[in-house]
Amino acid sequence: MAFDATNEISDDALMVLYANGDEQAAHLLASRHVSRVLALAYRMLNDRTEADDVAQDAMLRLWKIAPKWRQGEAKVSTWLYRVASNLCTDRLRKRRGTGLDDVPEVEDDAPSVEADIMARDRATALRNALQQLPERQRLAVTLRHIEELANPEIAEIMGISVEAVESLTARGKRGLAEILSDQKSKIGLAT
Amino acid sequence: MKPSQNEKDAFLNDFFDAEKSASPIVGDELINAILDDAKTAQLPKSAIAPTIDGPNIWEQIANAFGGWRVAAALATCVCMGVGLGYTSSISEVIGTDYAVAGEEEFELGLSGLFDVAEL
Repeated sequence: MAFDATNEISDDALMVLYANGDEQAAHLLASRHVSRVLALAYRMLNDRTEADDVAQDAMLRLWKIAPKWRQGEAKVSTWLYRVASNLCTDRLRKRRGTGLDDVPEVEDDAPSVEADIMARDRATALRNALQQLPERQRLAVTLRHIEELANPEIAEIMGISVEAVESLTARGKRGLAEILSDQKSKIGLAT
Repeated sequence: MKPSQNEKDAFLNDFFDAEKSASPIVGDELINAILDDAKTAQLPKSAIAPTIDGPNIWEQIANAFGGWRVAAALATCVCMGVGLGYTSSISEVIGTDYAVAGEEEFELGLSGLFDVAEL
């Protein structure tokens, strides 16, 4: 495979190449998708180790399905988001079952300039606020407002209608606004 | 005074923007583990069994009888044989036909025209 043409190769084509034994295709698929899957898992679980596990597991499932991949049926990214969100849901259910739902608040003590600290504080506050939302709202808000996916794609990932996605994101945003408005002073925002 | 919807959205957007820029970085350990999985899951070409494009079971049966043409001829013969087997006998069939022909000759007044004894 010519390296300079790699950006033009579709994910579907890479899946075929991978299934036919091309190792470079696996590198390209991983470089395109792992960061997104990891980010989603981290925002859903708020635990880096678990997020790494979910990302690895989701990618392993992609490798396994490659020989049976049907081109044009689903986008690789959509398929991966769906698998990752299901894996996160499974882990969140297990946490509830074992009383581990009280995830410790994320703290970031790395030194930084003031603006960075404020941005980090906001990101941390948002992540903590997301954990307080119901799972479906958390997933919908993350996919819509952080991953910036379109509502139809989110609907496909979550297996619900577009209207249901709109409803979940609206409720999620209301919930986040309420939680975060209580923390304005802590995170350096003027009212 | 309550904040407007735009103010609420702008307030949340600051958080979303901050979170977007704080996405976790994929560690080398994770990417190596994922690529190792990819190698393991990837079947070597030598391990893939070649597909056998041979005839299916019905084609094999037809071939055993000499191909579809021979099988079709055989099936036709069997059908004819069964059909004939349902009639009482071959001579009865022939006799019936002759009797019908005789009745037609009588009705047309042709019975005396070709008397064998006069020939």
